[in-house]
Amino acid sequence: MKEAVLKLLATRAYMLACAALLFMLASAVAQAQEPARLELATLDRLEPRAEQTLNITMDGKVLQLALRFLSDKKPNEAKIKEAVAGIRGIYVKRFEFDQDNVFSAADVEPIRSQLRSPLWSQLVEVRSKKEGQNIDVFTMIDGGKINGVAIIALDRRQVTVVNIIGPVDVDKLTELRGNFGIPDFNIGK
Amino acid sequence: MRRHRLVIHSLVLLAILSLACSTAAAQKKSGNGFDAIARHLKTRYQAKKKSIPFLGLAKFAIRIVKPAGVKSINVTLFENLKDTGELPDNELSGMMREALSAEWQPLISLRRRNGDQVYVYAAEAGKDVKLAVLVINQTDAVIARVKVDPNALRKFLDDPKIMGISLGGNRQQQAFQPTQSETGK
Repeated sequence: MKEAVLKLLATRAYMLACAALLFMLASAVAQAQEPARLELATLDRLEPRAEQTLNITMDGKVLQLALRFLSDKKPNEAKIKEAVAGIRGIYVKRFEFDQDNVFSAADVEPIRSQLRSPLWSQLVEVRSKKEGQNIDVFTMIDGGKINGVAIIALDRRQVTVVNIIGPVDVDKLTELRGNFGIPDFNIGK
Repeated sequence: MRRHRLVIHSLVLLAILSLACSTAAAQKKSGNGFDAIARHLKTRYQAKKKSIPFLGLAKFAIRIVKPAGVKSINVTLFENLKDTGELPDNELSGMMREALSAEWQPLISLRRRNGDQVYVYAAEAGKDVKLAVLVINQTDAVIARVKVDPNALRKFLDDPKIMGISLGGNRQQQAFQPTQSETGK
């Protein structure tokens, strides 16, 4: 009788272990499928110091829902729709502060360290001492195509990090400025 | 052979039953999601639900007229929130995620240091889009559910009309009419 119970327990433990292994494998595969996805939660330590924290999470499904509100007939909206076509996600985190220099470079370092991966390369670097504005645009190139974009925009009272997943045409990226929480930056256009 | 068939039939029946149960549970969770948020506001902040005069009538009218593509709306107002504190409630976003079923996807969250918080979730409903919004500040909270037809909303924004009555006059037409100097006349 005892043996039967032990056998049952062992079988269940084995099944649980298999399930856990499968779950871990699935998570790893999901992560591997979206290598351009940045871990933005590493910025959350800024939240207690921020006057306002904004999170925009538009994964593929939500993005498609949002696009339904845009018209093909209006040139501006049609351009945005075209720019977003194929994009699998847009993630934005913005912290606004009520005083200057509440944050330091170290606070954004967890994002920069993710962008030091060989898959990412820096496309744009803007430094404005007068306005205290720093903008960095990084792209992830995979198989000769841009498969992700990361934007870090800092000024004296604001930290914005944007992560776009999927094929992005950099020329069309400018169409997204000021939309979906993406800052109205200038990258040479 | 008969035994084998019985086992297969039992497995199929079990699969159908578990699917039916999970669908029912998902529907139940979806229906109760907003109740769970309301319960959290009542227990965590001792919030009192405030009735909105003529809301029932407005909801009925919206279902008939569908203004600006809005097919249904549900608003619940809470007042006299207590113990809101100065910092945002960190549990609130987790509570919302837990309360709403998987069909609801987080879209926007905004948190201010003074405790003001806004959460917007979106879900697909066929060709319509459902939005769930929670707005909370130190004294009041609002939970709103809206079902919108994006095509109708777009048409409304292009030409604001409700039941054939134009709300924008001919301002829009005038705005797009070229001036004499533009046409070169």
